[in-house]
Amino acid sequence: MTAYRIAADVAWVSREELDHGTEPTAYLTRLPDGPALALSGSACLVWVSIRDGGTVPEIAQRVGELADVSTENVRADVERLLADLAEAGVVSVEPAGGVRR
Amino acid sequence: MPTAARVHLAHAVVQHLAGTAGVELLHLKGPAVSDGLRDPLRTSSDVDVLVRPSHLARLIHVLEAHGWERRTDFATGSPFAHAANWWHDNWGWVDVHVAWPGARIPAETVFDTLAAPRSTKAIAHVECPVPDRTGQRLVLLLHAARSPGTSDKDWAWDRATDDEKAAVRALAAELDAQVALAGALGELHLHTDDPDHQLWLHFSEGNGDRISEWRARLSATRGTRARLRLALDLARVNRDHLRLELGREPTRGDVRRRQRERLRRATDDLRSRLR
Repeated sequence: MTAYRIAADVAWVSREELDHGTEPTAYLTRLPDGPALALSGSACLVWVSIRDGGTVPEIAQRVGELADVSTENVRADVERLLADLAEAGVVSVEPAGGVRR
Repeated sequence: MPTAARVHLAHAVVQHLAGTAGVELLHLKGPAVSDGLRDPLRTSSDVDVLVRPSHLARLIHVLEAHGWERRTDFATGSPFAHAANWWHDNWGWVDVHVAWPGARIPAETVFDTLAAPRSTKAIAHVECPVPDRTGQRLVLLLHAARSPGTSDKDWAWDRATDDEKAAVRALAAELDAQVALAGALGELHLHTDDPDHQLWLHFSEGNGDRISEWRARLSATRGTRARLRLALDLARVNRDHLRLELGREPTRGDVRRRQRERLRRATDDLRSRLR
């Protein structure tokens, strides 16, 4: 099974860390040349849910808990967003027993 | 992107570039300050770093290779000739300091001393080297000595315990920064015989009078040759600042106009002293 985690060469900061803003937002960039990305709302919930790494079901479960919705309701969206983030190079894709981007 | 987010990411970018180039930095002020030493509601608009002086050329090379443009020079970036600014279209300003005004031992030794505790702080989830809490307090206070009116003294000094204050004074003595520290703490009357007394009195009073500034900076400069060079610099229009103000390369006419304005300001200062 595939696991995802935030790539080692990514810097990011969440709105919560800056000013406790009400709209969940994460600002991130690949070091050193970017570009900068902003993930708002449910996309931000996915982002903070992958900080410790996990498989799609694990991440979907965390997002479901954060958003107070069922895991099944968010799983497809989580999977799609993870694929996009992997393509952007900001998450690492981790097959069983090893890490690759 | 909000300024605060950009500044956090910019610290991480600068640290990453420094790391790849083998450059030693200390991140100062703004998000580099530890919790409890700075008003949490206060935000920074730029990145401040202190670079090991012998690594400056490498830092400049790597910054400029990644899209940072130098906007001021060390000779013109500040009255102390200790910092210069670079601009990046995505990351904004970085102020690169090779020395921290107030410390009078060699800048390389200042860096060694502040870096010795090997403290780090995660900024945008990237570990950035910072001075330890005592070093941070002193850095903030020395900055407050030349930029009074901020909340830095309240957070870095007034809320400190007696032991913490003693540690700051000991570090100031190690860096030969007691006079500047006295400027921040309102204790300059204890240093009236020191050549730097007038300089820090000028900055701590923050009156913006150019004649006071010139006199103070000249009195704090050792050696005839250095004084002559400073006098020439003081009389010269700062083309870097003029370029930033105008948003374009200043023409000879711009420089002449600014020179006349400076002369008029100095004359006004003189008149107000004679009244």
